[in-house]
Amino acid sequence: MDGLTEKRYERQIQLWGVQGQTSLRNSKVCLINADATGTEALKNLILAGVGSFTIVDDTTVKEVDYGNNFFIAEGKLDHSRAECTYELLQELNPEVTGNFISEGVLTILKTEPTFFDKFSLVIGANLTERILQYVGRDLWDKNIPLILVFAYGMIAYVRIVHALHTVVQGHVDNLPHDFQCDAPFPALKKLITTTDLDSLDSTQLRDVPYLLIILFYLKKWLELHSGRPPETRIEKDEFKKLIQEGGKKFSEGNEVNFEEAFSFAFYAWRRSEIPSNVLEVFRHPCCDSLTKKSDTFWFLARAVRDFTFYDNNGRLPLRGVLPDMTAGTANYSQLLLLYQQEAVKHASMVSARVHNLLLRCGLPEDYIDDEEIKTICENSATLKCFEGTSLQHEEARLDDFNVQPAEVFSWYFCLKAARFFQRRYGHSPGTGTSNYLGDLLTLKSCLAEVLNEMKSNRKIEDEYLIELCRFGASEIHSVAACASGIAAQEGIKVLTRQFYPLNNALIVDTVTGQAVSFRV
Amino acid sequence: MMTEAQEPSQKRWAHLRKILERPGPFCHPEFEPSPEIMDFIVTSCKILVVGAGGLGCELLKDLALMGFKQIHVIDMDTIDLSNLNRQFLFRQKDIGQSKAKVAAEFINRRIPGCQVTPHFCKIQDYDEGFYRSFHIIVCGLDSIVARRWINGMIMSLLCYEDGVLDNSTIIPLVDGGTEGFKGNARVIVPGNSACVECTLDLYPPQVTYPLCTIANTPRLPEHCIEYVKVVMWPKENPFNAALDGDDTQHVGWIYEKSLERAAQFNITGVTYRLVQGVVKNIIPAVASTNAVIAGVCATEVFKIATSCCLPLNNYMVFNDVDGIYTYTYTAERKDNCVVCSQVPQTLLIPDATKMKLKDLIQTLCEDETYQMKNPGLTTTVGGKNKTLYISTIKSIEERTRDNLNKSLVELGLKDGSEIMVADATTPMTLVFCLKFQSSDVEMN
Repeated sequence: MDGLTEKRYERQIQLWGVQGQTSLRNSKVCLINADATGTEALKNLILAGVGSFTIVDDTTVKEVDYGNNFFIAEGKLDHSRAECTYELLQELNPEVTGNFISEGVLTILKTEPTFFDKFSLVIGANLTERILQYVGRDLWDKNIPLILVFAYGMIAYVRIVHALHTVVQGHVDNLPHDFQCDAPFPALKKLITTTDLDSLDSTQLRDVPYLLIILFYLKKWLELHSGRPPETRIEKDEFKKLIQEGGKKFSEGNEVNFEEAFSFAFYAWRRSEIPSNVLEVFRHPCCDSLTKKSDTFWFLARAVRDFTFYDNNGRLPLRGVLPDMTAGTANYSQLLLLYQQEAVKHASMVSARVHNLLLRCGLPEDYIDDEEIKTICENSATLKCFEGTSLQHEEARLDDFNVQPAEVFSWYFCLKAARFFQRRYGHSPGTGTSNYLGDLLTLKSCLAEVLNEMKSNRKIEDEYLIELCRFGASEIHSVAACASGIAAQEGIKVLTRQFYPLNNALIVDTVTGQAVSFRV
Repeated sequence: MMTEAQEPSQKRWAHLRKILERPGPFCHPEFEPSPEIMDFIVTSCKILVVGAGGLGCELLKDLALMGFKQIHVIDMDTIDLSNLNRQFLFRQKDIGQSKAKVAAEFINRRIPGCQVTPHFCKIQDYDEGFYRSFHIIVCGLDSIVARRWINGMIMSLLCYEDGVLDNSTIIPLVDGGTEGFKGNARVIVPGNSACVECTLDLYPPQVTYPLCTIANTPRLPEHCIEYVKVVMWPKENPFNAALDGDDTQHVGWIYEKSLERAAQFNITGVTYRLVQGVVKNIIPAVASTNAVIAGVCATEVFKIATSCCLPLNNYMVFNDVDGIYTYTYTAERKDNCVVCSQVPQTLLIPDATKMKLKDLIQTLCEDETYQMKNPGLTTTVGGKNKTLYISTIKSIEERTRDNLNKSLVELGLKDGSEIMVADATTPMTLVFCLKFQSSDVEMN
């Protein structure tokens, strides 16, 4: 990446690193429907630096587009909307290449069924049920992520449709440290054995990092308790007292490092467990049946799994990082070095396994580079896989009575009813110029059918349906921009394979300024 | 005579018209649907956008596409390359120019009839006369000090007659903030809902590295870099200038020295990018978060201007690091808020014979309630004005510097004395009444 590019993306590279930025640059995005909602979502992806984009839209520019779409120049009535929006979106970022197709997506798929194969992500804005059916099925089968955005009056709906998504770098806040006090590796054991805090004066004690303090007192404890770490509440308090007493050598009471050891004492009895999200990954069928066509994620996950259970007694590879600890530089560096060196050992064992697995599947050893192996070793605790829900299966999976706030969630069913109405009658409820409430009763029966299909007993007040008619499928720019911002960020998560995505739907209610996410 | 593009009845506003010309059960109770509302938006409603950066660009676009035409935007910054990943009204050729001016020109070109007026200056350069002229003010700032100043400004516009607020002096404030994947949006109705100052505890102070760690026991590469930045640079003054994080020579120097220091302590991990991060204190920023928060803010401006719905009540938090997390709640007013309550402010002084002026100033800076930056204090003693200490004007600073070490009693202050405080965080002068806590000795 050259200097100018890095500088341009400086603020976002802080979030997803050069690796993430490169993933974006290698991706191709397709937008179906260049209305306000669609162009706003695409704009955010173009600014973020995706490699290329394609706009699919068979409509021509209408007067009403000028009221909410930022990416159409004046004087373009009746021109291809795909072409007009392409022109103004393209110039947002010289590093991104784009093109457009002024045809309907269903027409394209008829003559070119493999059209979508080249895309890493498809965004669909305000798509009709008919289009959703075809496109949804095609992309689902190919495991190409589809992000749907709907802006309808004051309400918006975002839905991720992606069969299987995997994440290595989850960037989880407050992840517990992997000190592994319950099973110190040999070099660490040696350090603990040669550490005698009792023989140090107060100046020397001040320099000891809290982790070493904990390990020292834990060793003492284990000797007195037949190798059993503190278990009961009383034992844990006793252990913490040991640390407290140890710190009393200082004339002014405890020093900072002993206070830190006191507050982090629980690491002494914390078991090095494998988080449930990682176990799910390990148990996934894709982890077992590796083939030439498997995603690199599964080769890496399998290598980590085999290392964990065959080489490392059920413990994930060490991250090789330590949080800062109040201590002397030399002591801290020494401790850090031990963890770093052990992590390097683990990484090389994982690496050997990766290479082995690749060869067994007829792939070259360097198919996966060291950088990726290093990344998974540093992030093995945040591995996660997300199984999606296809559009066809929405009805069966929804557990609708626990989603809060309930009054916001009701809009999900209402929007479904509106799309149902549109499919059956060819226009959205309330889009007639006069008597927009004339559609109310019909809309109500559509809602009843929708709820029936979903086997839901939900009661939705008439007010919602009246408001839906009032909205008349209007596309309000600020509402669209908000929802598309969310959709674009989900797109970035999918493309960079970092951060946990929305799983898998969201309603934004700009009337009350609330949003609710749920899993369909 | 309006141009064709300004005609509010034009088809282009068909989407918005549905919301404004049709009644509905979730509307504001006082909402009366009418074509006149769109007229008002397009011809008369005057909005001020504070900031033309990540949020500002989005806000200008959103407001223009919601029909607003009388928009002013104020920003003192110029365009930088690192802005281009999100501040989409700017291009490479605009680097170095005024954000407000370029943003205004872009919007005016793109949206016919839109009249965005730029102000390339600081918010402090304008007074009540300017701010009073707007119907709604919306902020996309990256500075808490600036936020507090704007908040103080609109609070100062409120008129109370016999304790009753004159509603025509209320200018609603919509405020948005973003950082990386996090953002928030709030609606402030001056004199009615919580103001920025009421909720100052929402802005925790920045975490810094303790000096003793940096100087004596560095452990992390960040400690090494911070040492060079905070200790070595001021001492050695290598380029005879203030440290500029965008100057590659400056950053290069810091990088070299940081490597040396790290080598001294056997610390690894000093990279050029890390140095940049520590020196520039880079706040991560991405287009999508700005789009979300600006979208919410613009919707609120629209709701307030048209009364089509009740506004957000009154604080929304957004975070899309892990899935999507949002939370909306009503931030409460502080009964004795320094800025928006009518309650006279008192400062309790435990021992006025011991407390020095510099201690009082320290309290005003460090106390959670006040969080001032560089307060200037004046008072009246024996009927005459007396400047206690002002640091921001060199000649006065030199003249009053000795007061810092004098006790409050020595300075002539008494129980019940009033001090007037001016600070960057507010355009108003705050009045504090000193309340001495008398000791037994004095009672005699």
